[in-house]
Amino acid sequence: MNIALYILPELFLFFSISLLLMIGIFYKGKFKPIKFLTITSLFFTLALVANQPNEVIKIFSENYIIDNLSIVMKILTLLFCILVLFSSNEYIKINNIDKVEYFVITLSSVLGMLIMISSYDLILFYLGLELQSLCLYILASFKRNNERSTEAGLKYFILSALATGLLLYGCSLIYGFTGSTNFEIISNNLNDKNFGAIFGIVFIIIGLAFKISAAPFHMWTPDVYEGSPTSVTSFFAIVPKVAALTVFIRFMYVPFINVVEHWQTIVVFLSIASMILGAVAAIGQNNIKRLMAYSSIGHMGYALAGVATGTIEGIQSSIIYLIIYLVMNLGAFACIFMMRIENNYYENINDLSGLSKNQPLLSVSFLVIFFSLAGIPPLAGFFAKFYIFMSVIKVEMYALAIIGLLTTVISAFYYLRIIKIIYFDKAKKPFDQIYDWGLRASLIISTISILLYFIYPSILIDIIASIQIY
Amino acid sequence: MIEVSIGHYLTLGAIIFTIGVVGIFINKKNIITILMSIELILLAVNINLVSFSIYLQNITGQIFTMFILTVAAAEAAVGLAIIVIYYKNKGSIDVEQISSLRG
Repeated sequence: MNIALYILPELFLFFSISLLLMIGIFYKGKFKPIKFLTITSLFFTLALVANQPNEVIKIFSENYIIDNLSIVMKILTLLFCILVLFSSNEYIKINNIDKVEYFVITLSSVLGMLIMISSYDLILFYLGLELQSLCLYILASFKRNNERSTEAGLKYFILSALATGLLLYGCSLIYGFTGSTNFEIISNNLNDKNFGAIFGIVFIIIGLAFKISAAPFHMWTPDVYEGSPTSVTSFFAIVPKVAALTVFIRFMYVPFINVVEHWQTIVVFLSIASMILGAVAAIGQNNIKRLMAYSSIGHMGYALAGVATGTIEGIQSSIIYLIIYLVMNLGAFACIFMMRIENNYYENINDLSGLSKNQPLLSVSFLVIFFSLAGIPPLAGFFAKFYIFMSVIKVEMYALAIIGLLTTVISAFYYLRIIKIIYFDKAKKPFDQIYDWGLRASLIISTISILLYFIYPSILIDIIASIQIY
Repeated sequence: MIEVSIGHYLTLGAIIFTIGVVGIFINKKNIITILMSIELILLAVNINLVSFSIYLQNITGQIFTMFILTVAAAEAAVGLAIIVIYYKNKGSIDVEQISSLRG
């Protein structure tokens, strides 16, 4: 079989990006069908990915891998990108950022993520990462006449470029001390005595922790989440997390698996720090986007706890955690998109006060999603945490499990505070109740799947149980 | 005369890398300085890669360097563009004044 057939999804996405870019050149200003074309091309890419053979294939001199992990993660990336575009449809229309560039840049960053997920080589990984982050810098500062948006873009650019520099320094050390950039050869040449390479691993972990916003490398997250347009924030909070966690897993379990006891302590530290910071720092926040940023730091801490175990069950539980967390996040941002009165979007938590009197249905969605984020049974968020703690306890890392449970309790405080404000505070001016169907659909999908996950959890578990790391 | 070995090149790379990282953190005035520091970090990486490539008799490091150079140019372009639009909104690029988002 021809090699090109294996990278058909990426090729297709690349050519659709080029086509949309050409359209953007000839239609100055707005081009109505661009939204439809973007979503269609994502759907086709999704179908092409889903059609890939269910076996391990390494192409381009073993530098590009197509396996179960990459197929599942690519499907998630594309699916969540489609859902985010649906739910933010109304927002970008009202805020006048539905230009051709917005969609082209979104698609390019998705292409970068697909390359990252499949990369099996340091150079290819770097190129995918940069394609993704360059697009994200532009997206963060997309509202270019808004001071906060440009400031968010600037901060994200500086900190992310620094992280990339650290990561590259790590890559250069790994290359020098193991003699190759291919993951499998690195894994064969790496051992406990190779101190230079272990030094490089530390740099790479720092860079990757930056990308998944794990504490203590989280500084950019709250500012960027707050400053960028909400549609971009919801994209940031959902789509790049999949690729970043995949890369984290692949780095730890393929090239660095021989020095597991060296990186395990670092990942445990990152995980504990993120869980504590996510729980404590979110308490005093008034802006709901900023609160979601701290909540995402905390949740990435739980996902890293699964990675830190060093077992295949740990990885599977952290992937399940990620999926459930992203579904909850999608719902939460759909709720945030609904906080609107006549073309003005509200972001403060106090704006939600007494919502239940005016909009009982939206309040119930808020209730379900925030209870689930807090990890209250029988909602999906509880099961996600349950799998993580099971796999952590199985490898006898009791300290990690205990700290995780304690931070869950602390973080429940600020989720419940929002519920209290919605249900027991005085009612304010009601929000508009006319929603776009895409927004409505993504809120319904996420709320229903969180609510009914416990009836038939094996759908998700069976898919994830087939994932192995090569 | 001392023989220039791989260790010297790595030390040079490490020094330039440290200058870059320190330059980002202690710089209080101008964002352009930060951009220059980022470029320094990338150049340190390139020195590392090229010297390793010669030491190992392996061309991969030099190819990696070419990619890094190309991407660094693109990154600088995007960064400067963001700085320009920020300047248009705010009227200054003082590092200490970038603080409307905090909490």
